[in-house]
Amino acid sequence: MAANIGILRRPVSTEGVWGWITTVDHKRIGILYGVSAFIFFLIGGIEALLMRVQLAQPDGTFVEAGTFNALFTMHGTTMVFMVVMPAGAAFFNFLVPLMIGARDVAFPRLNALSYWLFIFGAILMNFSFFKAAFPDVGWFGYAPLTTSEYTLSSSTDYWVLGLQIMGIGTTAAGFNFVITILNMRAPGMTLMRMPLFPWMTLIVSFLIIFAFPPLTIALTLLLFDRFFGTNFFDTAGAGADPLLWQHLFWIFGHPEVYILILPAMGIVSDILPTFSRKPLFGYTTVVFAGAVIAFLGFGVWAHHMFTTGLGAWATAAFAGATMAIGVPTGVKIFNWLATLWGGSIQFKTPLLFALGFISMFMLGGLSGVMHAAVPVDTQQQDTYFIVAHFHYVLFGGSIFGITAGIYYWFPKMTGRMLSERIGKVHFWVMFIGFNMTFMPMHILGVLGMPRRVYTYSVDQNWAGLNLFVSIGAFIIALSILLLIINIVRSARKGEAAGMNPWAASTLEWAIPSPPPHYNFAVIPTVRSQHPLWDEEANAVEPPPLPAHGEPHMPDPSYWPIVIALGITMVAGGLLIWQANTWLGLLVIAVFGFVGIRGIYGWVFEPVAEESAERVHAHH
Amino acid sequence: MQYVTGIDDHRTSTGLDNRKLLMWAFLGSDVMFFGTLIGTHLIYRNRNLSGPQEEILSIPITTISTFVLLMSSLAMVLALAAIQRGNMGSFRFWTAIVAIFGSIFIGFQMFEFTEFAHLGLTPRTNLFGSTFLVMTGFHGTHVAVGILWLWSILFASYKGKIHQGNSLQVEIAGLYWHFVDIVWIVIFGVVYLIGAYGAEGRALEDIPHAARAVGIG
Amino acid sequence: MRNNRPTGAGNTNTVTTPTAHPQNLAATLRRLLYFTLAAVTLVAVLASCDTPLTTFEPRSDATQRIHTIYIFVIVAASIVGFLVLAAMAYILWRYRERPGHTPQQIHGNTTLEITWTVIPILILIAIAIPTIVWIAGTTADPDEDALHIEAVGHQWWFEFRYPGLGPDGEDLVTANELRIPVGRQVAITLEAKDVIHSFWVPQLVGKTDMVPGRTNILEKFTPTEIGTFYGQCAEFCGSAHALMRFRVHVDSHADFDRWVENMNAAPVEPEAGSVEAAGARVFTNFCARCHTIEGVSTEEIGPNLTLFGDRATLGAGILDSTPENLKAWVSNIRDIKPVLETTNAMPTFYVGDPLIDQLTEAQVDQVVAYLKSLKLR
Repeated sequence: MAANIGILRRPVSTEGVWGWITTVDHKRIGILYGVSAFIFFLIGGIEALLMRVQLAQPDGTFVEAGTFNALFTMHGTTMVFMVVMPAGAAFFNFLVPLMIGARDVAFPRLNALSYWLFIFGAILMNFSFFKAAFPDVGWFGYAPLTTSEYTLSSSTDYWVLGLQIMGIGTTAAGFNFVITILNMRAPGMTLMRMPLFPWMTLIVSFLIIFAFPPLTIALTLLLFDRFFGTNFFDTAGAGADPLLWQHLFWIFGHPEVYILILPAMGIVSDILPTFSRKPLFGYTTVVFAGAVIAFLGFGVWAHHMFTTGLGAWATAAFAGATMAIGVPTGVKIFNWLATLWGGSIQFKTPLLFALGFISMFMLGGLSGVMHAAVPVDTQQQDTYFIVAHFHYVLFGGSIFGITAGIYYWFPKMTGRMLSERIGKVHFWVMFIGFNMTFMPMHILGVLGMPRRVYTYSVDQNWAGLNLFVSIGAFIIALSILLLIINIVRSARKGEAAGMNPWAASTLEWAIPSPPPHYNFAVIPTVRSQHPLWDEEANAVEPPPLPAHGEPHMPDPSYWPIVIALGITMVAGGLLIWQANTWLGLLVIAVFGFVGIRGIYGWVFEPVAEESAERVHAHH
Repeated sequence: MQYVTGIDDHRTSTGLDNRKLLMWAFLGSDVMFFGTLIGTHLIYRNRNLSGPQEEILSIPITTISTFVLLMSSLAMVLALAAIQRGNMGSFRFWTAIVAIFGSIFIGFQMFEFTEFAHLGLTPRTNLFGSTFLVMTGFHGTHVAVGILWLWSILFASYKGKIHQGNSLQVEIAGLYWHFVDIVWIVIFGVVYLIGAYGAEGRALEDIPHAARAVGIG
Repeated sequence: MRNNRPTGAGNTNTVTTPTAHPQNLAATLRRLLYFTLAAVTLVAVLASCDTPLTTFEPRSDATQRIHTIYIFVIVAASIVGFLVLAAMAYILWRYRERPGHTPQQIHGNTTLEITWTVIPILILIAIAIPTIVWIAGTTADPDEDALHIEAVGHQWWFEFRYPGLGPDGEDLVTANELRIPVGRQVAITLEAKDVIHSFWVPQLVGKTDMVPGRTNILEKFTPTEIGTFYGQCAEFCGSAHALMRFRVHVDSHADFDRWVENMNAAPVEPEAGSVEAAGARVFTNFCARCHTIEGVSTEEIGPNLTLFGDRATLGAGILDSTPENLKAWVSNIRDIKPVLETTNAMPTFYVGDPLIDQLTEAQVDQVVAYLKSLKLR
């Protein structure tokens, strides 16, 4: 049955670059996501630093207005879609199968496709820098500024298409993790025995599959307006309503906020028990609080639009819903504190970052409650107070949580420890730099500084605080340098981690670090929430491989990257079509064929001949 | 053979096959997709009354095409029942019927779009043209993908790749097909019927009725 | 096989030893908190001196109402934040890893959890009530003697129309500097010509967006103090968003009436042969294609320039209206503002390059003199 239906033989080797390109191993895909996210984090960070140089003094001349607008657009888009989301995906991929006792995700090739769509979409968007200019319409691209009437440059086309492709990849990943977590758990791993991280992954995956379609539609409508002359956002000619875009975008955009923060909450919920040496306080409450946050997250989008003239009733309803969402969030924070209460707290680096998460995220939540008070929001909306707020949530929250996760699971991923000493310095430098950067932004907001201004004048009197903020930004940059040093140092001379360096309780710590490609030699049977604390049977030594050798894992495949390339280049063809109709159509036709051919190749892909023989030998 | 899971045994936690669960999840997501499109159409309804509006929708013609699509769902049920019994001949017959009925529906839609273009309604004409044609266009694309999928299944069944043992493949395609059908029922009800009701007050004489143009209704 | 049941410090399976001293940590945290609070207060006090866009110095009934709620939520949030951080610091200090201390294996406590669900609910209700009351208040009809104004956002300037106050009962039109009388309610409706903008005068009224195709209603407000206040577009609206500012002059009733009267009169003819007279000719030949001066020209593509000589600023509130600045502005707007060469944008008039220049330097000087002469009588 090894009939060679594809033009490409199914690859066998997992070595070298081709091994990475064709990999379907969730751990390798996780590492690809993580490394990509980190690179984009550096890019987005540099964009932020350039903005801070410009704003360090009044009437700055470091960059021009257009450049500055491109910088904040790309900084926002990059940090949301190319950093925090893929960083979350990196943890989903690497850890979820390990934590639920599975050998891989439900659809390994779909998983690879998700990654390639993400990275190609991200590259396509950044490619605009070389062809036109970076997109400069803001990360939420309010119509009608984004229509071709007001943005002549094709940079917005790159923004739309790049986001669209990344969105498809993300949605596919959402499906994959819903199925993986619902269907691939080890025997005995009931939903209510799962660690919090897979729980939050499940919730995030549901958010993704329900929240991304509105964005897909919004982007499609804008794309049709820009490319084919439809009227969805044509306010002047066709009488379209520009608020349609805002509604569609924020129906996606607010759940997106929880897509960004819930993984970090999951990470922290799993780190706290390990370092306070006691189980999570109120496990069920924390799980359901996460679910309630996700559910309510779909009903609060219009709080981004309080100043757009929604009408009194809608405004009051959304203000109420927004305040309501503060309750489960507060409950989580109290449960985390209660987890620490009565423990034996070990101040290891992952815990420091987790504590940083709790405190900073709480401050972000409190400023969030302030904007829910609509009258206050009319003074805060679109000022630096908002900038401060969402950086407390997304940097103080997501990034601190993700960094906690990096320190916690790095030993599992690589087999080596990161330095505790550098780690602690890293924490304090980042913590101080973060607060120096974003705390004064609250005051700038109170003093009336609008966001997204490329300059301000002396008489507005914001200079001192802005200089202070800019210094803080460079201190954050320094802390990231420390992280890089720590990782490089660990690669060269990090201590061996062993299976369970933190004496943690969950399944991923029951296998070697780094895990073998098949994860578990024998799928464990789970009987409690804390298998490594409660049971001797599952403790440290992994059971030997069964007699017939290594478990058979899916073969690598070329098709994911082929399909992703097809989809991306069809988008590329659309962009070329703007300039050169026939060449564009040719590219669309060729790569459309490649994509469809890829789908058929995927569907009818045989197992690799070599492994087919191996399987035969066993049976 | 095909990889579905990375695990040697195909036991799943819920007992449902991964692929079937995937289709359900996808359909859940697609509800949001079409919900957004239909919502956009309804929000923009009657917002700008220049150019052709809902009154050019032909209820009689669309009733026929809706009926054809509904019948295709019935055929889909019969096709699945046949392959589950192992009756490949009957399965192939009914699968072909589904695909053909689907194609007839697409034919109606292409006729409708062409007719509208003659009456001066394109996606560029006005808000109604944009929202209606993009919404129904996306639905038509879904139907077209389904037809392609069914032909592929039919073709694969001759090569022995679809058989009683993996009738799940057909079941999953069926889920998709029924869903696309249901979406059309919603569009027919919310967009055509309510739209036509809303358009009653407007002067029908001014704009040639699509149905009248072809001698029906 | 070893049981990993968690215990205290004596029996942990760790690779590195803790280097942080928890006592110091708790103290550091506390010191950090005090430092932050002190710094924040200090900076707030220092910075609020003379920051024209501050939201903390209300000068109308509307911003005063908002300010009261603002202070309330800040105090509430600060108390909650401080208590939680203090509790956290205490827990971290109290339950730091110590020899002989065994962690208690608690899984939860329903009473506690209900308590800390109910408390936030109560706090949020306390915030929701003034919010809802405020929202209900915004729906009230304007006072009978309210001054009605239409504000229109353009890329990147503000147009202000006073219905019925212009010549023959038409609109009185001005731009970028709004004049309103003290103590009289102002009812402003908001529109936009191109993209979304946002109208905001932090000391007088909270922001509301100006959305093309919609007419939004700004919260009604009554200024309580004579003076000049800064406004700013608050929604990103393209390349020059940062430079889309405006001023609001709150005048006495007498001054306001005098201004309205003057706005409706054609300017005094400049003396024949004067620089201003030459400038008036330049204006009629070039500037009048886009700009209105009451009694001189009627185009409304660019901002209305009636009584321009009395404006404090130019270029949508970004520069003091000095002759030097005005000359630079008329010569080459693109030196000052990132504006593309589109149909509705102001052309570049003089850069010293005969291929580009539409005016000579002398003509620029003349038109500057003319514009500066358009003053109240």
